[in-house]
Amino acid sequence: MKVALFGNPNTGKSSIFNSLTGAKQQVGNFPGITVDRYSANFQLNEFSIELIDFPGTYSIYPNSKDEEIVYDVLTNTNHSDYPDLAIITLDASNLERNLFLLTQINDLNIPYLVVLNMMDIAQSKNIKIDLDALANQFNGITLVQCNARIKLGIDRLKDAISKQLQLIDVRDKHSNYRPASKDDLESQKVDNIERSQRIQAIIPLIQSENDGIRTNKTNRIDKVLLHPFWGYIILFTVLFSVFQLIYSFASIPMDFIDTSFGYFSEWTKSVLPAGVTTDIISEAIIPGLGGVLIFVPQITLLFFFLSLMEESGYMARVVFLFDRLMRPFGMAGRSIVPLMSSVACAIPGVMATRTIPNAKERLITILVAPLMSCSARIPVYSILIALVIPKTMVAGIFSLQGLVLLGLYLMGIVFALLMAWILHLIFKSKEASFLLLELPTYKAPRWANISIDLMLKVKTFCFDAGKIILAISVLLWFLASYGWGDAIQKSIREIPKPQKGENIENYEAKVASAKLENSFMGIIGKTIEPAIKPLGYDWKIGISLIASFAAREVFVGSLATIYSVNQDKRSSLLAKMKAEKISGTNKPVWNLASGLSLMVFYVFAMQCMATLSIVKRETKSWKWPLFQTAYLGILAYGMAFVTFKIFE
Amino acid sequence: MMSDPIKLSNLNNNHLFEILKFSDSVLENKCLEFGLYIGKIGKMMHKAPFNGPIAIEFNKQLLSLRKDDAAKIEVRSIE
Repeated sequence: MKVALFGNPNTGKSSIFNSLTGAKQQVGNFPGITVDRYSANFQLNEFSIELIDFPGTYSIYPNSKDEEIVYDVLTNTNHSDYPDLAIITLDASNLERNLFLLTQINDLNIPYLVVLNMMDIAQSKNIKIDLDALANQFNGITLVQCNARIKLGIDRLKDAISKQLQLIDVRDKHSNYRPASKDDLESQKVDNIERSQRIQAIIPLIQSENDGIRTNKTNRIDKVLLHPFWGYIILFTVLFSVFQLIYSFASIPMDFIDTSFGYFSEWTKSVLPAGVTTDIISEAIIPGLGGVLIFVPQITLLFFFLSLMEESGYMARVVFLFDRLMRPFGMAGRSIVPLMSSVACAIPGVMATRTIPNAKERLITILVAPLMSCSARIPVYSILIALVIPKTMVAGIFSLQGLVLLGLYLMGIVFALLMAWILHLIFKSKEASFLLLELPTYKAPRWANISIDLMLKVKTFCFDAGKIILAISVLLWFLASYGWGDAIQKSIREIPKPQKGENIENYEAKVASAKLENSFMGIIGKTIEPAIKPLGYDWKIGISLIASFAAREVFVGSLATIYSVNQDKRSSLLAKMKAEKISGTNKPVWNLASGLSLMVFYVFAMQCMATLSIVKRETKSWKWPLFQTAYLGILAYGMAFVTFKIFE
Repeated sequence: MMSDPIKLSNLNNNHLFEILKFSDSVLENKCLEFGLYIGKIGKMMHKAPFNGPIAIEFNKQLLSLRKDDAAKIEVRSIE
């Protein structure tokens, strides 16, 4: 039996869903579209039920691509998700608007029952509702009063569902109502006007208001939070503190995950018999898993704060404040959150675009998010700045090194907006660009909703994006560990064995370097050398560029390996980099031009397999992550080339 | 007191209004779904700076519209 939940946004629909299903939820796909399908299977008396939570809408007529699924399912009795029973959640404090969807589903003659939520808010707004009169208007339909926030009425709702399911077979499903087609706005309007008049006629029969003034608490808060000056100050303070908190709190579990997976890898190597299987486990799979889990602390923390903002009603205010600023760039007011969080890491940033309802605005935000300089770029920037930027002061107070770092960050922001603007001009949008946004009453967050939401987010990341991350890390490991025939073994044999009293570490570093140089990755690095020479790079940098597709910070470690120095010793790596000469000449590889060129390259290039994987997950196709990698790659190459030419 | 029709976008904060006319059919259609139609009485509540969105109150709910769209709604101010 399929039971489906419909309702306006902000009516507590997801709370009802959570209360009915608990943690049994699954995230899947509706066929053909990018909307997540939240569902849960459970047993209710003699019925096995699949409960599906549909996106919140004000009408069956869609306002966005995501909302079309509601229209598609409800108007097609043959649709695989056509419900046997619909549950419609109503916000009791705004019946006039909520009855719109209710009357549409009623007219389609789909068996349904009504959950009347938020009666407490209606009372606080001095609205009195005559429940019998409401039920009578719709042929004595079953009404269940709930307060999903305190789980009140959930048992009554379960009884009602089970009772309704028993009646289904004897109901006549024939409907005389033919909704207008999705694109026929004129016919929709005829339908809507007639419906609106019908609702206006019944509203006085079922509800009475004592006065016209809305609850004052929300108004008082909005006086401050939507203030043309203080509203922005508060918002920036909130977002800035949130990202600072994420940045500092997440680093503790992240370091822990990093070191434990390091130990775990060493340990498996020491206990398992030597061989290819052990190598795959200890050098590819375990570090790969670590590379997935390392993002969990950031994702959890960010989505905890985002859920808080969403649940409390503050997120709608963010849209109100930022809509005008983001619109010229083809992005939504909500885009400010993904973009700002991408400064810490693009993974949670891309995931946070889920709350942008307009498909085009969401896509543009996803495509430009990796241009915001994330924290993984810092190790790369810092070693290159230390190497090629002198420690001088500018105007007596600014350090030149600091200014270069600031410049790289600004370059990312400027190009994120510029690219968004260009993409906005290129992409055609079929969706009407109206912003009709409800600013809901402020509410205390529901912790059960937040925790279920967090669990699902982490689960989707680990399983959907995680498998791609794991596959790419195994591939990169293979490329870095194997070469043609016995080329690697031969090169290792040529290294003189350490003499007594000599440092064994030096020998090991040389072995690692020879291994990488003769691996497939080394071969690729040498092959692409002609292509990256115009940017000022040699094949050793080429190898590190390829290796750092795993994650940008890998660049430093990979460079240390190829230069056969211990990567934990920053000073020896710096010394080695300074001494490195372009082959056949006496000119240093690392100079101002090549260093700046490489920094600029890292501003743009999509050097992150995790971002690629999460973009695939969020756009549900390979088209956009590949497009993104390509356009950022071309941009990176072009900008790095220009930089190198200017400073050469 | 009857006043001349003005654009909703030109109304000042805390003023009550009655909707007279929509000059955009698609917008009118979408507004209907929110319970906003000709004859509805509401109140201007907030205006975002730099020609940003406005927020109006009616049916005890707060609804935000872009300024361009609000300019397509004709209202009369009620004192």
